[in-house]
Amino acid sequence: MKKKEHSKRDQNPQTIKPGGKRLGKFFAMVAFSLVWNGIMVFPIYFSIKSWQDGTPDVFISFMAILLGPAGLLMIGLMFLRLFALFNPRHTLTLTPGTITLGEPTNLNWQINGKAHRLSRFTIYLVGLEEAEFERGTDTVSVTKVFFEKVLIDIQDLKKESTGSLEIDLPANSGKLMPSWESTHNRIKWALYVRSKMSRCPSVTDKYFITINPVATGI
Amino acid sequence: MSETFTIHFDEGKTEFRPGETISGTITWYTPPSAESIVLRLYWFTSGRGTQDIGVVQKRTWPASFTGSAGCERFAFVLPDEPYSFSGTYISLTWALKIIALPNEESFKKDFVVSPTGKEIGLDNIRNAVNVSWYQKIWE
Amino acid sequence: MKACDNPFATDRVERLLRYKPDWIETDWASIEDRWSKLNRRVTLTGRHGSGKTTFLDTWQERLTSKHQHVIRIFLNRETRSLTSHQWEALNNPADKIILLDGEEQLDWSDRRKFYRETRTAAGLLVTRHKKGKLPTLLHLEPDINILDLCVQHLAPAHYSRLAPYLPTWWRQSSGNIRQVLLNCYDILADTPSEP
Repeated sequence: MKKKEHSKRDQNPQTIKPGGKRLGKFFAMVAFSLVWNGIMVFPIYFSIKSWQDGTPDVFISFMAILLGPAGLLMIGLMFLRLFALFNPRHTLTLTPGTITLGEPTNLNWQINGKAHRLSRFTIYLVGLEEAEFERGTDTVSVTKVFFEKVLIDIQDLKKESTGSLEIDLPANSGKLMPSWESTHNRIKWALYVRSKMSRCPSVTDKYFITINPVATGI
Repeated sequence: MSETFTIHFDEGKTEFRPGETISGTITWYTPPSAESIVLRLYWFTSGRGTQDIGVVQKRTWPASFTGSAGCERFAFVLPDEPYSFSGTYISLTWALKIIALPNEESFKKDFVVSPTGKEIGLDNIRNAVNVSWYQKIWE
Repeated sequence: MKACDNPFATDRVERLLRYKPDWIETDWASIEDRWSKLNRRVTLTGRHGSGKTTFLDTWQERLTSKHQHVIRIFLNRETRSLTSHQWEALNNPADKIILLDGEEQLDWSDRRKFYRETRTAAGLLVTRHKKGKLPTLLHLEPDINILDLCVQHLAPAHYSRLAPYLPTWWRQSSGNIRQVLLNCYDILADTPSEP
C-alpha cells in the first residue's frame, strides 16, 4: 500500500501493511477483464458465424485473432491477482518512522497468518530517480533505480515468521541521496516486499518511505 | 568570466557541507541604466526532466551602487538540503548568480554542497529488483 | 554519463535549439511579412513534437528584442484553463502581443472569452494541432532531415552513433522530434531504449 509519507524526521514508529491494495487491484482487474472480454465476444461470435455460413469476414476475423489473446491475458492477470489475495500478509514497522542518513533505524517485520505457505520472503530497499518532462500538451515521466539493497531474504519461513533488522545508511558514502522532491524531479525511496508461495507467481508490494539528510540543526 | 561581474569564494573554496557558511566577494561594473544588483543563492536541475529552480536566499543592492565599479562581500548559511548530485536522469547543482536589473545581464558560479563536499554520484543499476513482467504490466 | 553532461538534457535542448527558418527554406523576413499581412492574428499548426513551442520561444525572443510587450500563456492536459492572474493580464491588451501555446486545451466558453478579451490586442498567435479560427501563419511539418539537423546541432560528437537509430525512431514516434531527442538522451545515458 502506498502509504502517505511520514512528515520529515518523524520519530514516531511507522507501521506499513498491504492494506486494501491487493483487493483493489483484483477487483479492478475483474472489471477490466469483464469489459474487454464482453466487447470481444461480438467480433469473435460474428467471425465464427461468418466462417460457418461460408462467407468468411476477413476483417472481423483478423480483429478477433489480433485482440482476442489480450482478453485471455487479462483473465490470466485476474487469476494472478486472485492468488495474491491468498498470499500471507505482512506488517512492517519502522522505528523511528523515517530513516536519517547516519542514524540507525529499526525495521521490524512480521508475517501474519500461515507463514509456512511462503517459499520465499524478501525485502529490498530501493532508491529511485524520477524525472518528468513537460512540453507541449504532453507530460512524460521516467523512473530509474539507482540503489538496491536486499535487507532480508528468507527461504525457510517455517522457522521464522517475524524478525527485525537495523538499517544504517552511512552519512558519507557519497552514493546516497536522501528523499527529495521538486516540481518535475524527485528522489524517492521505497521498501519492496516480495513474497512467493510454491507453484504461484510472486507478489511484490511497494511502500514509499522517507530518508532524511544528515541533521545539521539548520 | 564575464567582464561585468565576478564572484570570488573565500580561500577559493567551492566545496561545502550543509550548514556551512558560503562567503566571498562580488564585483561589478554596470551601465547607468541598471537599477539594482541582485545576488541569488539557488539550486537548479538538469537532465531528462523539465528544469526546476529553487532560490534559497538573495541579496539586493539598490541603484545607488550602479554606474560604477562596485565590490561587496556576501555570506549565506547553506541549508540542510538538497545535496548536489548527479544520476542518469537528474543532476542538481548549487550556484550563486549575480544579476543586473532590469536588463538581466548575469554571471553564475557553481559550487558543491554535500556531507562529503563532493557531488553525490547515483549509480546506474541495470536489472535492479527483478519485478516480473506481469507485475510491470499492472504498474 | 551524468545527467547534466548529456547533450540532450532538456534544459540544454531548449537553450540551444532555436527555430531556424532556413531549415525549411524560408526566412524571418517572409514570416514577419505574412504575420503583418494576416493582421497579426494567426495560428501556428503542427503535430506533436513538430516544433511549435520551439518556434514560440524564438518568436518571443524576436518580439522582446524589438521592445514589444509579450504575454506568453502555456496550456496542456494538466492545465487546461487560464488562471485569474492570466485573465487579468489580458485586460487592456492594445499594446500587448499574446502568445497562447495550446489553444485546443480551452473549453468552449473559455475559448470564446479568450478571443473576446484579445480582440484588440496588438498581436495574437495561438498554437494548435489542426487549423482553427484564425488564419495559419505556418504549418510545421518537419521531415527526418530536420531531425538530422537538430541532432547534428546538439551533439555533433555523437551523431555517428545516433544516426542509425534515427529513421526507426522517427517512424515509431510518427515524426515527433521531441520524443526522438528523448530517445537520444536515453542512448547516451546508457539506458536501454534502442529500437
